[in-house]
Amino acid sequence: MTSLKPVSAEFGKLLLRLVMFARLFSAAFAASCAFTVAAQDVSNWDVQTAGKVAVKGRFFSDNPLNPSQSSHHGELTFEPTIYLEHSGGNSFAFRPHLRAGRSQANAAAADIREAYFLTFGNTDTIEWEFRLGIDQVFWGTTEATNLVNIVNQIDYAADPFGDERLGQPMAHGTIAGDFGILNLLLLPYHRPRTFPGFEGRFRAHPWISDNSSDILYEHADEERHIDFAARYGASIGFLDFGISAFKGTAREPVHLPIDCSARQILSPILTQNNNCRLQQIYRQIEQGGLDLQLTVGDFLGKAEVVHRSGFASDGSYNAFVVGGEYVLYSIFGSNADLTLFGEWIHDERRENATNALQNDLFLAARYNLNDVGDTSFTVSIVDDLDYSTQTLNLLFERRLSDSVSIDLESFMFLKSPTAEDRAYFPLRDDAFLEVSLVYGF
Amino acid sequence: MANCSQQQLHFVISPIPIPRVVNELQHLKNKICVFLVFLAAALPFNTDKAYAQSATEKGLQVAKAARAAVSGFDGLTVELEMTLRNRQGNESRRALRLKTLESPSSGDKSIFVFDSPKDVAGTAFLVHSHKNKPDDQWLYLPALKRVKRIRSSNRSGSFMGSEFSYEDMTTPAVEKFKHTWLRDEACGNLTCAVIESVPIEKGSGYSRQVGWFDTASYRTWKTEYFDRRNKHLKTLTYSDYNRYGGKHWRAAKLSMVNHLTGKSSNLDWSNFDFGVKLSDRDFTQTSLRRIR
Repeated sequence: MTSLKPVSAEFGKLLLRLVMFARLFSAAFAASCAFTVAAQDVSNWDVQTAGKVAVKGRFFSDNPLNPSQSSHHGELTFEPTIYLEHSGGNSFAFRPHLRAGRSQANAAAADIREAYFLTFGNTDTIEWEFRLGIDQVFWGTTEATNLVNIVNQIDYAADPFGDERLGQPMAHGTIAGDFGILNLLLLPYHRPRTFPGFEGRFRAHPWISDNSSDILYEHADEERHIDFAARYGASIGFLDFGISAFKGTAREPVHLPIDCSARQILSPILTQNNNCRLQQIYRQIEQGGLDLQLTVGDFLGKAEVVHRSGFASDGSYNAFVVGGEYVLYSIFGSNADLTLFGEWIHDERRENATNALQNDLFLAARYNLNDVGDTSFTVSIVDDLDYSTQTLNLLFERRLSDSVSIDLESFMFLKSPTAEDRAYFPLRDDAFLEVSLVYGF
Repeated sequence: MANCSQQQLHFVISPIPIPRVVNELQHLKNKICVFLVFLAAALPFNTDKAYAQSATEKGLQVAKAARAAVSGFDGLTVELEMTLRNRQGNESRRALRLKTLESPSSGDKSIFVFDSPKDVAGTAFLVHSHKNKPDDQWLYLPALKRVKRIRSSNRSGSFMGSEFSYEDMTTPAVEKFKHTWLRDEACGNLTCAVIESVPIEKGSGYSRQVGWFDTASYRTWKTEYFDRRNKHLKTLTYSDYNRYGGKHWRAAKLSMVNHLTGKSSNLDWSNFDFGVKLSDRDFTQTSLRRIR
C-alpha cells in the first residue's frame, strides 16, 4: 500500500508556487488596472460571473505496473470566471482553476488560466487589439494533435489527453484587416509541463518529477527567458492558412533519469521509491509552423506542419498532420448526424520521436443525436503504422439539465504496445473508464 | 542549475496526448443560422398593384412585401429565449443573444452568443451571408479559445433539438419558392392573404408551406408546413407584434407545434435594439474571439 501525501500539504506547495508565479505579473497587471480604472469612470463597469464545478472519477481496470500507482483517481474542479467590461470596450478577465483530488500527485493544483487586460480599437481599414496578462492562445486546425499550438503549456495533470493548458503570461498584440490577421506575442515567463506524478497512472516510468530542483533550463535566464511567437493568418476563398513562428524555451521537455540504478533503468517499474525519476529539461528552440484548412461543402481538409530545431544537437526535424472530416446529415432519416474524421500524423524522427504520434493513423466517428440533451457518441482509434499498437477511445456526452452535463469516457488498447513502442509501452496497463459530471453557473 | 546542454541526454518519451475529438458542438454548428427570416436583407418590393394579377403574381408580390417588411434596418441587437416542450410538458430552455448588420449589397453579417444551457454558454457563431455562394461561418469555442471555420449548414435537421429546423430559421430568398395566392380571409381584426409556397430547390424537408400575411403591414401571422408526403407536419404562429422605431414590426413570440410528435418550441424575442451602431469591424474573427 502506498501512503499518499496529505492533500493539504500538496495544495500548500502548489499555492506557494502559484503565488510566486502570479507575483511576476501582478505588478504589471495592477499597474495597468490602476491606470485604466483611474482613467475611466468606475460606474461604467459591467461585471459578469460564470463558471463550472466538475466532479470526476477515473477507474483503472488493470493492476498498475508499479504497485505505488493508484487504482482510481477522483477530483473536484472549481473554475469561476469573473469578467469586467467597461462601456468604452476595455475589459478584464479572471479565470482561476482550482483542483482538489487524490490518488495522483498534482491532483491538487491551482492555476490562473486567464487574468488579462484587453483593449481594442480600429481605424477605417485596420482593427487592433492588445492583451496583457495571463491568457490562452490556440493555434491549429487538426483533431488528433495540434503541432503548431505552442504558446500555452500542456497540463497533463489536469487531463491525460492534453486538452487542458496552463495559463501563459504574455503581451499579445493583434492587427487585422483585409490583409489577414497578424498576432505578435511576447512571452516573458515559462511554465513547466505538469505530469501525473509518482502515484499517478498514465505516466512515464521512471516517473517525471516536478520538484523545482528537477526542472532544468538550457538558458541561464531559466524560466525568465523572454520568448517570442507570431502568427499570420489569412483566407483565400475556401482556404484558410496560418504561418507561425516561435523562438524561445521549449514547451516540450527532454527527460533525463536521475538517481536511478542500472537495474532501475532497465526495469523502472520495479522502483519501490520515488528517488529514481526523470528530470525535465527545457531547451532553447525555434519552431516554424503552417496550418491549413479547406472548407468545401460538407468536407473539411486540414493540415499542420512544423519545422523544429534546438531539441537535440543532431539537428532539426519536421512533423506534420494531414487529414479531414466529413459530415453525413440526417442519417437513417433521423435528426442525427454522423461526422467522420481521418488524420495521418508523421514525425520524421520516427523511432527517435519524443511523442507517441511518430507515424500513426487517427480515425474517429461522432454520432450526434441532435436531441434536447445534445447526446453524442464518439469513437476514436489510433493505429500505429510503425508498431502494432492500437488504441480505442469511447466518449459519451449528454446534458442532463440546463446546468448539468455528464461525460463517460473510456480508453483501452485494442492491440497492446510492445517494448519497442516506447511512448505507449509504459501505459499498457492503464485502460480506464472515466465519469465526469459538470455543473455550470 | 546545471547547464543541461553539456550533459549526455537520455531521451525518454513523455506520456503523450492520446488523440481524441474535441466536441465541437456539432449540434450547434451545423444548425446555426441567421434567423434572417426576421432580419433579412431587403428585396425589390413590387408596388405595382394596380393591374389585375394572376394568383402566381399576387403570391410573389405578397411574399416580397412580407420579406421587405422585415428589412430596412442597419444594425440590430436582440435577445432570444427558446423553450422546448415535449408531449409530457417537460420544458428545456436555450438563451442566446444576436447582433446583425444588414448589408443588402455584400450580404448580412451576424454573431450569435449562447448564454444557456451552461455547457454551451459563451459559444459564439459568426455568419457572413452571401447571395450567390455558400455563407461563411465561424465557430468560437470559449473553453479552448478556438475559432474554427465551419461548413455551411444542413437545411432539414433540428435546430438545437427544437421543432425548428435550420430551414425554418433561415428562409431562403423569395425567388427560391413558387408562390401562389390562395385566398384572402379574416385573421383577427385584419385581412390576411393566404399564400402557398412550394420550394423550387431540392433538399427541403417540406413539399409546401402555407403562410398568412396581413394586407395592412405584411406581417406574418401563421405558417403551416407540409412534409414530403403532403401531410400537415407543423404550424408556426406569430404573436405579440410590436413596432420599433416607428417602422420595424417584430413578433415577440413565435410558437411551433409539431402535430406528429406533440412537441412544441417557443421563441421569445426581447430587447430589440434597432438603433445600435454596428460596423463590419464588429463581425470579424478577431471580434468573435472577444465575445462574452
